[in-house]
Amino acid sequence: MTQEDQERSWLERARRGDGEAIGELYRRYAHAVYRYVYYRLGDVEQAEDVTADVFVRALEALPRFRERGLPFSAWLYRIAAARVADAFRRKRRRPMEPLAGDLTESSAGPEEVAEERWRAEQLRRLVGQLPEIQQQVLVLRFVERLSHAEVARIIGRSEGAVRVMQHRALRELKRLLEQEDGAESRVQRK
Amino acid sequence: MGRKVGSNENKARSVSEHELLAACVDEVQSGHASWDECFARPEVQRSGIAPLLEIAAQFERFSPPEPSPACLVRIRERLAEKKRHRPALRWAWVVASLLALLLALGGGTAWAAGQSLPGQPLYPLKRWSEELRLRWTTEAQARSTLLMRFADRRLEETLHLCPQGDCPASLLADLEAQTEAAATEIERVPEPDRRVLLERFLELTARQQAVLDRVLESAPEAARAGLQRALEKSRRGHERARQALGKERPASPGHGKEEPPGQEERGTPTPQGQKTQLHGRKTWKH
Repeated sequence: MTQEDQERSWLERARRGDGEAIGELYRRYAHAVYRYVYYRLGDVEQAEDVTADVFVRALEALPRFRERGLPFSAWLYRIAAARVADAFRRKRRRPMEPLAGDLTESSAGPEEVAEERWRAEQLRRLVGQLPEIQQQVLVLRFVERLSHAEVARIIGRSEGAVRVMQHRALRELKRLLEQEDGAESRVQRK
Repeated sequence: MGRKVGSNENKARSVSEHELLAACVDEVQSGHASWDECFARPEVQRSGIAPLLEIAAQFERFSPPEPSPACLVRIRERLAEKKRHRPALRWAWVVASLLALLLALGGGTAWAAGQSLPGQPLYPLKRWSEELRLRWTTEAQARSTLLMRFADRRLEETLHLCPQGDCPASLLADLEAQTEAAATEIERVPEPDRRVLLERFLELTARQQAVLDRVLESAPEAARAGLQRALEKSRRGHERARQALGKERPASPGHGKEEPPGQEERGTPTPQGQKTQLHGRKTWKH
């Protein structure tokens, strides 16, 4: 049985309320959903809450889910994106928590690690200023490391459109970084 | 005119830039090149994408945290909590409940619906009220009990209709679906309650087999395949429940070793209201 067949069988059983199948789907996708939600929100407690909410919504809507070219994972990300948007509306730009993730290649000294962590946090904060769709593209491409095709399926656009959005988002991010770094160096000169 | 040519050039450059950027990132993500190799390429140097690639590389250097096992447990708990507190009904169901209540107030109608058979005008109301009760019930133990009761009703309806040549496929499908759903709910119930429910499920499927076997003898040809399938499914469900209880197959049919102590007497209803002996001793009291 291929992985797709296996997943199809779990989905079918989960639709009928089979607890084991629901557990399997949860085990398979909880990490990815959590990472996505956490990067977007930057708050452990909220990320846990929203991740749980994503699965509740998914389970409720499961009887209506039909594959039709959209994989279950893509469908979960769509639900996650909607729940994250709701969470943003609720918290109305409450200050974000600093990131608690790992920096790769940690052979750097403590100062460099601190600098990189600050950079990572700055990047995430600025990503939050981009239009919603661009945020989704960047997080799915660079945090979740999904392919252009996978991102295209999730956001319901063509692969070409995803490439263009990725380019625009990075360009806008560069502009925001330059703006912020410029403002900071002006403050330091004073 | 000159401005238009310039705009077209910008557009062409932008097109190649986003393709170049996408290709570079793809190569890095698939492990075919490093970020440094990408930056060093002449076409990247000529284009304006080098700073964009640097930003992309910054993303790549940060790995968001994996949820810890404790965190996953917390999410599961939150999930369970949300499921418990979430309003189980949508507006449509609230409206449906009120309508059902109104109908129930006209008690005669409700009683008549309860006695109705497939194909009769009040039968949809009977099925609807069952769906409503299931919708209201969230606990696995209660749901499995309800589903077994409803499956018994389908069996009774089968017994009334099929021997007379009227055996709707939807009725047999409902019988199979409710039996299977009951089995699924039982799986969710923890021990020791699960064992008690499995014993009841064994009784249910034994009754089904006795009734379906007998109905098959007199059923019209068109209904035989459906009845046979329902019978097979019931046998498989029975066997699975028996295995779950760790019981041996009885030495000969008709002598149920698996009968739990202290169960009330049950049998199988017949159209004439007689009682069919199941596993030697049980009779079904109406």
